[in-house]
Amino acid sequence: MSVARAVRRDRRMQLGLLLVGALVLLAVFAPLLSGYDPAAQPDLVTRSYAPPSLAHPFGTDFYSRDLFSRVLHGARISLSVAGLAVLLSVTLGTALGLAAGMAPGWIDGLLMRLVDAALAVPRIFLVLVVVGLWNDIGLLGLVLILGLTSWFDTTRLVRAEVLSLRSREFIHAARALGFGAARIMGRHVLPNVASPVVVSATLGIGQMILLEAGLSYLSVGIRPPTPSWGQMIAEGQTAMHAAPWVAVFPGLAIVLTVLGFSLIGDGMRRALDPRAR
Amino acid sequence: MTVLLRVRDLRATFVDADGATRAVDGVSFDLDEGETLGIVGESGAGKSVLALSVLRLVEPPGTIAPESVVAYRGTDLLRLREPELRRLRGSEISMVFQDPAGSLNPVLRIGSQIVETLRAHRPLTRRDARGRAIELLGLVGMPDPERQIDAYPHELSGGLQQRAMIAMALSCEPRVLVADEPTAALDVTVQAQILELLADVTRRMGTALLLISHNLGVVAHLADRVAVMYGGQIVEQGPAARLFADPQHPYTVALLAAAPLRNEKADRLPAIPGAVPSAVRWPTGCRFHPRCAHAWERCAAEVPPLLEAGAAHGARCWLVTAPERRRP
Repeated sequence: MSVARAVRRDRRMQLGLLLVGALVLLAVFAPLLSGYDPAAQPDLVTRSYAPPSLAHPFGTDFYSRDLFSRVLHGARISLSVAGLAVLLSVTLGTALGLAAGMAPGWIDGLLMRLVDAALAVPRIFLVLVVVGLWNDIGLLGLVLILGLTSWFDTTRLVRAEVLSLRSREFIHAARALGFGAARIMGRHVLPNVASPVVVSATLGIGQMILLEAGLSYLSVGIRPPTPSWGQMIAEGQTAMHAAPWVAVFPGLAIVLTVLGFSLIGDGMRRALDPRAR
Repeated sequence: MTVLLRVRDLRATFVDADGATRAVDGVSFDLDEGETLGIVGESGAGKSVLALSVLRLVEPPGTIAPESVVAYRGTDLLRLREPELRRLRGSEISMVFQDPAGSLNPVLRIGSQIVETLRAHRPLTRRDARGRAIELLGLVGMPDPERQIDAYPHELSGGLQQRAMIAMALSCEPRVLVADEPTAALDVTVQAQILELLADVTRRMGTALLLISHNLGVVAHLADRVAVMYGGQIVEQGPAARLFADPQHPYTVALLAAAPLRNEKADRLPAIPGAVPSAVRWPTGCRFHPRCAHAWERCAAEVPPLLEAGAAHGARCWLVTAPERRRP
C-alpha cells in the first residue's frame, strides 16, 4: 500500500521509528547490555551517587545501583505496561464504540453519558482514586487499572466513525445483499475504523507511559525494587543539586520515548488520512 | 407470465420536525418474471424510496404503512421476519445503487466482496466461490478478471466499479434486480455500456429488472413496461412502446417533450413550469394540476384514479374521461 511510500518520504516519522525501534531493542536486550543487576547495591559507601563514568555511563544512585541498567530495565516495564494497557483500552473502547454506534437508542445514550462523565474527570485523578482503593496492585493490577480507565476516548472516536459510516451507501448495499448486523459490523464497519484507531492507539502509548511514570513518581504505580522511570525521578529529585544525573537520565528516557510514539502516531495520521496529504 | 413481485398500495412516510413527508403514496404495480419495468420521474418523485421499500431497506425515521403489500412470489416481504428477509435479499432480490464508488466497501478487495456475497447465500468453499467470482467478473465484461478480482475499488474506474457492483448483485442469480439510477454517477460514454450490460446479463439470467431513472432515454431503451412517477404516485403506466407513442398524462407528455431524445433539432428544450411540490403538503386533487396546462376545476377538487386508457395502459388523469378538454 501507499503507507510504505509515505513513510519513506516522512522524516519526522522516520525519527520516531528510529527512537522507538532503538528503545525496543534496548529493552529487549537490557540484561546483555547493562552488565549490572538493576537492583544490585555493589558498594553503598564508595559508589553512592557516583557521577557518569565508563563503568557507570549514567552514574549511580544513592544505593549505588547502576542507573544505565535501571533505565534500560525501566524501559521494559514502561513499554510492556503501557503496551498492554493500551491494547486493553483500545479493544474495549472499539467494542463499546461499535456497540454504541450500531445499537439504537438507550444503549448508545447510556454508554455515551458514562463516557462524558468519565472524561469530565482528569485521568490522573480517576486513576489515583482507583489505585487508592488497593494497597499493592502489582504489575497486572496496574495494567488493568490503566486500561480500564482509558477506553473512553476510543469509544467516542469509534462511535463517531460508525455513525458516519452507517449512512454510507456501501452499508446499505451490504444490507441489500442480505448481510446481518453482526457481519456488517465485523466485516464492513470495523475495517473502516481501523486506521483512526491505530493512530489513536499509537499516540495513546506515549500518553500511557507518561501516566504510568506520573503514578510511579507519586509512588502509587510501580513499587520498588522494580525499576521504573517515574519512581527514579522521584528518588533523584532529593539529590537534584548533588547528583542531577539520577533524575535527568530517566527523565530524558521518558521524553524521547513519548516523542518517538507521538512522531509515529502523527506520521501514521498523515499517511492514512487522505485529506492530510 | 407469472407475477414475481406484486406491490400494492405502497406508502412510505418520513416524519420529522416539519411534518410527515409522504415520499411514496399509494403505489401499486406488478413485476413479471424476466421483464424490465422502468420507473421514471423527476427528483423528489419518490423513486429511490420506492426502490428501498421493495427490499424493506427504508430506515427510521421512514416507515412503511401497515396496509402496504410487497409480495415476492406470494410472500409479503413487509411482514417477513428479519432472518428470512435476509435470506431473500441478495439471493432472490438484489440491488444495484447509484454511486458505485460509494456502494463498494473501500477497504475490501472487490473479489472478497463478491465471495462474501456468494458464501452468505450458497454453500460454496472459498476456492469455489473465488472461481465463480472470476466467472462473474468475466460475465460483466471486467477485463482480465483473474487479476482485477484482487483490486481495491479505488483502483478501478467508475464504469468498472459499477461492473463489479453488478457482478456482486447478480452473483446468486436473483430473480429480481432493482437498479436505482445505475448510470447517473457515470460518464455519458460509459452509461450506454453499463445499460447494455444490464440488459444483456438480466436477459441471460432471466432476471426481472426494476430500472429506476430520471432519464427517459435510459428507460425507453431497456424497458418492456414503463411507470411514470410524480408526487409519490404512479401517474401513468403502460407498455413502453405505447406509452412513448401515445402518452395520456400531461406530465408524461411534458416529460417526453422535455427529453432531448425526440427534439434533437429543437434549439431550446421546453421545460415544465414550476417545481415538484413539497411531499409534506401535496396539492389537492390531481397532484400535477398546478403545473398542468389542461387543468380545470375537477382536477383541483377530485383525485383521479388510474384510469384505463387502452390495453394494459392507465393514466391518473381526468382527461382520459374527457378527451375533448385536451388542448392542442
